[in-house]
Amino acid sequence: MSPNELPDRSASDEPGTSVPQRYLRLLADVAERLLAAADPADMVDEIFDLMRRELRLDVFTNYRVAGDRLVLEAHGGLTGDQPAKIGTLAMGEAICGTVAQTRQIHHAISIRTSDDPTYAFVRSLGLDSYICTPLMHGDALLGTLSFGRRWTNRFSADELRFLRVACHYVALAKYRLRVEAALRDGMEARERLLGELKHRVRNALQVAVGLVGAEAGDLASAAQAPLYRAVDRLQVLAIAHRPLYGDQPAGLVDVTGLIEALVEDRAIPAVLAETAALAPLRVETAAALALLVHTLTLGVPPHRPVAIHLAGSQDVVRLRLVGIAANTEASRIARGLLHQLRGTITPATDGMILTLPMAHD
Amino acid sequence: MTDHQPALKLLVVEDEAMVAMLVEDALTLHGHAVVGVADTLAMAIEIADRENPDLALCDVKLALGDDGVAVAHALAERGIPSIFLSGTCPEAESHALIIGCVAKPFHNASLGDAVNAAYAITRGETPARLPAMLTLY
Repeated sequence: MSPNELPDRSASDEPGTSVPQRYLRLLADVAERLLAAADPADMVDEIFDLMRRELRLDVFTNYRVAGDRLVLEAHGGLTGDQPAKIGTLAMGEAICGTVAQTRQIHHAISIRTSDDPTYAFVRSLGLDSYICTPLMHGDALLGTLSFGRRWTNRFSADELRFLRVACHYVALAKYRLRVEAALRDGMEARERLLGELKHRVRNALQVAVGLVGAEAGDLASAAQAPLYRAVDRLQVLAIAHRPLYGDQPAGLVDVTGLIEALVEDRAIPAVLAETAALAPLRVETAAALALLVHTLTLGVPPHRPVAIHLAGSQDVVRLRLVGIAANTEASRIARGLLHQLRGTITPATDGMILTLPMAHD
Repeated sequence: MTDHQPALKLLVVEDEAMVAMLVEDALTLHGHAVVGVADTLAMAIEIADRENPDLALCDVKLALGDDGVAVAHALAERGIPSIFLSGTCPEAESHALIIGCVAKPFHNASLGDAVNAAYAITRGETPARLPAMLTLY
């Protein structure tokens, strides 16, 4: 059934329901659809379906702004090549282009008897009344939304008020969808960038390990030790950064997992003898801790591994390293890392205790 | 000292120990003297007041949640110029004594040129060499 064949709905159709009441109910339905909408074009299609019976609409067009032109995004009641003829409009062209340019609602009446050249296309559709509304958000023009009828030469004042409000709702919904799309695009771009950065960081560390290792291989064996130690430290660094590549909260590293990984990868000559539930560390702190444990365990023979006992709370982490003597003359690297971590080393009867305060910044 | 550049007293403000050591070694190799390494605002001010360095190199993110930009401003108020040495360079700085930024990762060999260029600018001189890695404000 075409809109023309639909019975005209008036207050008398539903006893006890006035036209303003029906418009209010219709506006509520429109708002509900707009809030749930996920696609700008489908959204306007649905709104048109909702409104056309009440207002006996024959045609609608919805343009969006694309640069300095309007592009037809959704339409209803057009046939054959009619959509193609008005697929794009320049600002100031026809009724919708004029509305976009002036940002003023245009109500065209008695179109069939008018010789206004801007009405040429809608006249060719057989329309006799047409209203086009700019879709605005603040000062920004998003597009236009227009409705036309063949059976009457004008819209009533109530209908115009209703359409103005409905179009305002549509503009808000379109703005919401546009912001959501921009957010989605931004998040996708961020994800791609993050993936690329992870790849680059991993690759760069691996290349660094390879470069230093290759240099060491070309040296006499007596000179190789410092370079192989550098290779070991780069690998420790890589292990500390590994959680960043997974699904853990960004920038946080679990202490137990870190020590387990260092042991598992034989980056340190140690076994994990005791674990504890500890607050995660920021990655730079975790990297410093991993390098410090590596430095403290340098020279420990693999067949006599250090036993690491983890303990602590939300405010402090304690690593008891059993089977290693506390070195009273720590190396420059150990001193630097201890300072960075605000850590202290105290001798114990069976080894040493490394105590680190937890930063809560 | 290469190219007859003066040996400068430098303050390094950096919270990661390994990076601080790398910077210190690179600057020492270029003939400069690192008079202190700080990783907080308070430590930087304390060393600056004691040593009166010619120039500071400031990381942006510091220990205990401190901010290298605040350090650079505090040093500038004391007449000490600085450059940032950071993975994320601040886009602009308004203080005339905050000269520019060297982005990490930096090339050790060019770090000396960046320091010399920044120091020359603070003295109103034209730098003998302006390395591309130094972004001027």
